Amino acid sequence: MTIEKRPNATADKTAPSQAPQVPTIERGGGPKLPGPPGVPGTERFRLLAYVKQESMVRVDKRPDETVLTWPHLLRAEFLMASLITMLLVITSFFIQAPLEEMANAGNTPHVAKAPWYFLGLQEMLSYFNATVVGVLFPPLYFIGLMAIAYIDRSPYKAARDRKLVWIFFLCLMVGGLLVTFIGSFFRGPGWNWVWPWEGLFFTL
Amino acid sequence: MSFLVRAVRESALWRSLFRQPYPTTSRTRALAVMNNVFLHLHPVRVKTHAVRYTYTFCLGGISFFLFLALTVTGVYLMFFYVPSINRAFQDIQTISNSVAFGDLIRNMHRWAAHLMVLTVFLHMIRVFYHGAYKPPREFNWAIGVLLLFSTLWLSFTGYLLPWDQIAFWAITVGTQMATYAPLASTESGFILLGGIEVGQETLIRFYVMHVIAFPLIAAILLVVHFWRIRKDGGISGPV
Repeated sequence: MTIEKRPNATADKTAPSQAPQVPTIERGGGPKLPGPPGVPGTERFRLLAYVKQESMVRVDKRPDETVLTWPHLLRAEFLMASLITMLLVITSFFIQAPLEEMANAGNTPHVAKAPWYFLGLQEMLSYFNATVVGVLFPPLYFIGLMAIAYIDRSPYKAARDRKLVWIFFLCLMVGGLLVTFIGSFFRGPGWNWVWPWEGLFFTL
Repeated sequence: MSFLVRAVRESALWRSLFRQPYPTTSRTRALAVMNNVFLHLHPVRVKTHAVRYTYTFCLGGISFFLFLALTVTGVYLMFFYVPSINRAFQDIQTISNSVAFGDLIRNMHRWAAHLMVLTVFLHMIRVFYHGAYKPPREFNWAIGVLLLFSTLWLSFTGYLLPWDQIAFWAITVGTQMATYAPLASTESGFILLGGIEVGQETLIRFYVMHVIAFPLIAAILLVVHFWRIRKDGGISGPV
């Protein structure tokens, strides 16, 4: 390992004109390097250092394959931003956002549903105790998600090497998706079971 | 024509805006990223798999882009909306019928909000699949979960603002869950609604949370999220 040492590196930046002579020195057959001007004995030199390996494990770290952000990443970002903009404009041009009559607390609709992402919770309210589902479950869901990273700390990424976490995550995701799906498309007036072909009670 | 282009490029104004010529070499491309306040969010070089569409599906980027689109469309809608139970519904109708591009912008805001909930969720699933939450990225995963919560809450608070039957009853049902809290059912309902039922106090609370409080919280979390990606060694590798 070669270390380049410059003990007085600022000297030649601040006062380059003060040095009429640039001393040079040659060590170990290396190239001649100019030292800081006007300071004898502080020449630049190369030093060969021996670094002791602390671990018995041989590190096999190869440099990552990389590409320049400009243009490769920026091109991808620009393309996706353009596509999403087009998708949004076209969708918004043809599909109208829902708007019913003005809110009226005295006029209860046949089906009162929460926004679609909370319909899973609303569905679970019909199975379990309201305190458990309505109050304890949402914080536990988010805390459980956050905890995944602090529980599964092994370096392995393949599914077969982290089965337990996969099962836990799949339960959260598939379970959540299933109850949301049922709440969205299979529930009608009085939160009774309704097949989609009998009537769709779902608004975005 | 070339004289004009050269005159513009050599003008003091142009040179004050762009410190270097159009990036064509590795050096100028690196400088373009480093010297731009927006682009320097990125490192100069990224891992090859990071630019592969099938690796990330751009879900994080799309979510952030939708956040920006929602901010722009939301600000436009704010010019014409008053969070009052006597005016809100009429303002929405006015936006749809009388304001220039109002209907299009309102639709964009609505569909972008739903899409953002979806993309944030899919982004989280993608990150889990690649095991990208593992050390040293565990804190950033936690920030991501908080961002998911912020996204849901932003969408939920915005749901009430049109003040129509869908909005009113969806929020009534959604907020009723909070009133099941043991020992503090009345208090938790009151904190959320500002009263015992959805009304003017609820509308103003939801409006403030939707347009100021949670966009700000989400923006701060986003900054930390992006910063941690850089500090944790960039995007994680394939499985």
